[in-house]
Amino acid sequence: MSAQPPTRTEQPISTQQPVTDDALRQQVLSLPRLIRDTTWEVENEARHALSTPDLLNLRLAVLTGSGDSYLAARAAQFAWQALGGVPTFADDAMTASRYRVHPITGGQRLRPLVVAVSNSGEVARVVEAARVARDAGAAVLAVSARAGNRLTYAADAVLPVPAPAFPPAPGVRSYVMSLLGLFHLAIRLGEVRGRYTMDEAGELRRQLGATADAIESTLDHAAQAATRIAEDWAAQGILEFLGSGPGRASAGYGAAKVLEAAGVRGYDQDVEEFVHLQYFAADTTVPATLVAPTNSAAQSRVIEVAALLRTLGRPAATLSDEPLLGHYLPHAPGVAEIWQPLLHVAPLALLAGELMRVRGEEPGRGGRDGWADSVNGSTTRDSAISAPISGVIAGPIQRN
Amino acid sequence: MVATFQLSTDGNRAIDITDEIAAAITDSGVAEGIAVISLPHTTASLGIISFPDPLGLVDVMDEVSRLVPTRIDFKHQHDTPQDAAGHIKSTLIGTTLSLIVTGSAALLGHSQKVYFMEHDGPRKRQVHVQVLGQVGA
Repeated sequence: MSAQPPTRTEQPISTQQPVTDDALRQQVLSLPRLIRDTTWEVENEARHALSTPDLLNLRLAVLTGSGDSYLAARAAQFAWQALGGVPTFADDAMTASRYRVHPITGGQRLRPLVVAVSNSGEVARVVEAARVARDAGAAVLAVSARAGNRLTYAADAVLPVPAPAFPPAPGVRSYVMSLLGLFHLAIRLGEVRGRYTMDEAGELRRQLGATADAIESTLDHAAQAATRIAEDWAAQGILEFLGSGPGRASAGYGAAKVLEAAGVRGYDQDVEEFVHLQYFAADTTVPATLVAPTNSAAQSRVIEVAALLRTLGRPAATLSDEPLLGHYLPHAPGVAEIWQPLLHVAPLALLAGELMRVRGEEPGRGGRDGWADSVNGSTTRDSAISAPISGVIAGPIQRN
Repeated sequence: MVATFQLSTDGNRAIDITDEIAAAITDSGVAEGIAVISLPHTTASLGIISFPDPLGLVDVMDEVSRLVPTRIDFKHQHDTPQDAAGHIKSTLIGTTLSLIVTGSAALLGHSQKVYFMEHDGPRKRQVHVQVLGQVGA
């Protein structure tokens, strides 16, 4: 490993393409093929990312990232715990870096594993989390599109999760690749630790790959529903997404996409916590999207909350395999709850894309006016990294 | 013609397959010849073991595991530690067996039976049997 961290890799201007609502839609339509084409490659890489002794010695894991990568961590946390049997935190990179890693690592005889997710590998806070973790004595695994970026240099090992080249759009294919990587790692973790047989691990891997078929089976209906919902909610300035467990991560993804793509102020909340908090909001015109798969462990509470939303007269939509309340945004039945964040990408991204279209928005506000600072990802990549690196504090990377 | 039968193992132990082999010999019609038993697996093996005391079977499996313990540092890390150890056990013990067929039956000693030895269970497994020789009257 080189003594100095590399300079941030820049994307040449000539390869940057404008993001259109059709580009986002095309990314969604490409997801079944993307999963089919890459899942076994990612599976093979996941087998070799961590050694058997590393997996058997694991006592605590922290999955971390920022933006979509943090959402992927939140989504995969449940698979890591359910399959691997390892207590697993899902932290945003700020929490992991400045509040989590040192207290859980200091004095520990067995090293925690920090899995740092970033498609580009250049998001400053995630790089910082990896460096802090390594300096504190944790093991660090980078999940990134490819090696050779600041994150992978800061890690002990890398799980590459590249998506084949495609016209860009806000976090659809890259998010799916991060999910595939984290899910395959979870299966591998449980397999090596003897929580199920190799045959059962193989079945889990087939289930994961079969989400491609599940996504494909409802794409047309989801697209039509997304159009109806977007046209109904075109003037809304706030959208609320409710879910629990893996569904909460999906709710977060939905909120993130409507923010990025359409500029609508989206936020996510747990189904139970909604009843303690947002339920009391005086403005009952804010639409709520309930992530409500019928096989969810939270389903009983979801049904109760649906009744409350109905009483409040809130505009609503249900993301589920069966209608429940308001608009119906469908997904396929029969997918295990731990894999459902993969299933939910398509309908939620389609909704965001349609909102972008009806509102005449550009993703990221086009990087213009007040958002000019965000061009080339500067606002996330150039933040000062506040962590000792061999005694040197690194500031913003100088551009040549 | 190759006869194939399935079995599901419930862990790492020796499973009596003598009756299935006898059935394959009977079905073949061969009275005098050879029965070849073969496994299409790399983490299981075949053995002729003394059967009267079931604990003797346990001894055999225990000693195999003592000779080849399941370690976490095998160079083969693609699957699991038990799988890696299973490959070694399977290679050392073997996945094929030949039996003399006479009088339309396998020639086995009074305390001998044929066992499928599972080293990476539980798994779904197959056993192939081919019987060659003179068809009986």
